[in-house]
Amino acid sequence: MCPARKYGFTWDHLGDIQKGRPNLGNLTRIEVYRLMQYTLRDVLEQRYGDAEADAIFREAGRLSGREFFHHQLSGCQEMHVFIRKFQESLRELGIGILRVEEADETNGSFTLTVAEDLDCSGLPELDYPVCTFDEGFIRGILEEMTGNPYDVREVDCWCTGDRTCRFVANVKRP
Amino acid sequence: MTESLNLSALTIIEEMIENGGDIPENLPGSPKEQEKLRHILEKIAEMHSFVSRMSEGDLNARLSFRGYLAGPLKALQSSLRHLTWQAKMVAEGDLTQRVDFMGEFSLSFNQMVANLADTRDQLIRRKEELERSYAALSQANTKLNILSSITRHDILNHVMVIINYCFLLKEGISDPKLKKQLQAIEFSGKEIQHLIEFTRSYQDLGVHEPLWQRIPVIMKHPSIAGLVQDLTVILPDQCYEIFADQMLVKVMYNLVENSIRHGGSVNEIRISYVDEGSVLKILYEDNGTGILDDEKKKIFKRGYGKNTGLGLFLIREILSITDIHIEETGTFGKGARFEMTVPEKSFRVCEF
Repeated sequence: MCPARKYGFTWDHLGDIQKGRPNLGNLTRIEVYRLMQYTLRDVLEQRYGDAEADAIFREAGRLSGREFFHHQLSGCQEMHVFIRKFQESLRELGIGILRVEEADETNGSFTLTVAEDLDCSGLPELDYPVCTFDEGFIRGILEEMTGNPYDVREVDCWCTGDRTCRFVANVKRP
Repeated sequence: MTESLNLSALTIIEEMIENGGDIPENLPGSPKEQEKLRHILEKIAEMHSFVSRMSEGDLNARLSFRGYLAGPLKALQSSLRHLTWQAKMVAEGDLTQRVDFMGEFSLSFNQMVANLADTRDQLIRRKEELERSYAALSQANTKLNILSSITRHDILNHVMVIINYCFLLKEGISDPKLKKQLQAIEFSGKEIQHLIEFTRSYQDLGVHEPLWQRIPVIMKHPSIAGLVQDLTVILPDQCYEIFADQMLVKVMYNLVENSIRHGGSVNEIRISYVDEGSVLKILYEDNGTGILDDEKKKIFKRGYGKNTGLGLFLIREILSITDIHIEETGTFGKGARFEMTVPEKSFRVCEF
């Protein structure tokens, strides 16, 4: 028997920020976001190992992408309108500067870059890309937009010295 | 690494950065030092190849390494690829594209796309206005045609009454002076009949949109085929389509009818093309008596001629709708030769 869930995600979990933070408002510093993300990651990695921690982040990102699509990007029928709205949303919310290098809707193939990324821009250089949450986030959005399953991989990352994060997305073939 | 080895390695690196070329086979130092130096040289060569390909417009090159130098180069490639995609979107008609955070380029690109969107909107509005005007004109034209048709019918009825009464009166009188006057009235009545009949042909001129048409197909129209059944008709070998008023069939009919009516013993009609690049000449020739030099220009004037005097005038008017010019260039005694000059955008090559 499954235990009762305490945090089955709904958009309501984000709360009424105007009501709840009348003085501090809707902004906080990136460090706070990263503090939460990387400490959470630390604990997940210690408990479940690196691969499983990555998988959990991707899955959370995917859920986030789906919800984000329905609350910020819904109503876009045409791909070019969707891409423009996606770019605007990421810019206005300070998530990153999304640029499209390739968008082949017919073959389900996209190459996207995110500069000044919320998760990693400015982090020390590592030997591996770190934006697993973003991979899931982009995947969730593309899947909701197209109705097809997607595989998204980060091929370049700030943390590998590439300045901008590049994601390659391909529709999953049966 | 010794001091001389150091200097030697640095010289090779400097040489590679400044002059390029192949990586020397014999590098200084121990095998480990050689391997390190080779890696540095290979990275310099790879960066050179990467940047060269980008400068030639190839944005698909990959750098196999990362870091301080590779990062900005990849960022530059990414920006160029993104701009290429955006330019492609604009070319496909998406004028909502905007470039962010690329300094002065963003301003120029965004201004250009905004201007394109404005111009397109203006053109769409203008097109809609023209379509409305065209619809209004078309409706007015239809009403005028109905009015003119009714008027023509009524006039012809009255003219017929005049002609018939003249005929009856002539039969009943013997006074030659009065008879002559009645003949004059009857003649004028018949002239009015001809003129009114002509307006029937003229009323469709320019009413319908011009079409791409083929002369050989037109020559097979039943009205023309009936006229030329006793003649040899030679049609062109090449295939061209002519953008002309839908009354082009009337043009060819009138030319053939003119040949038969005024050409004497015409038994051959030849139609050919001369493609002069910027214009196409359609040549219509018969082997009749031809046109006298001092008549070549007069024949296109309204009212000039042996029959109604309206056939060639009508031909010129029909052709002029799509800027096709006609003139007579034959030699009297050898036959008539009409040259129709079709402007550049009003003809195209086709396949049989």
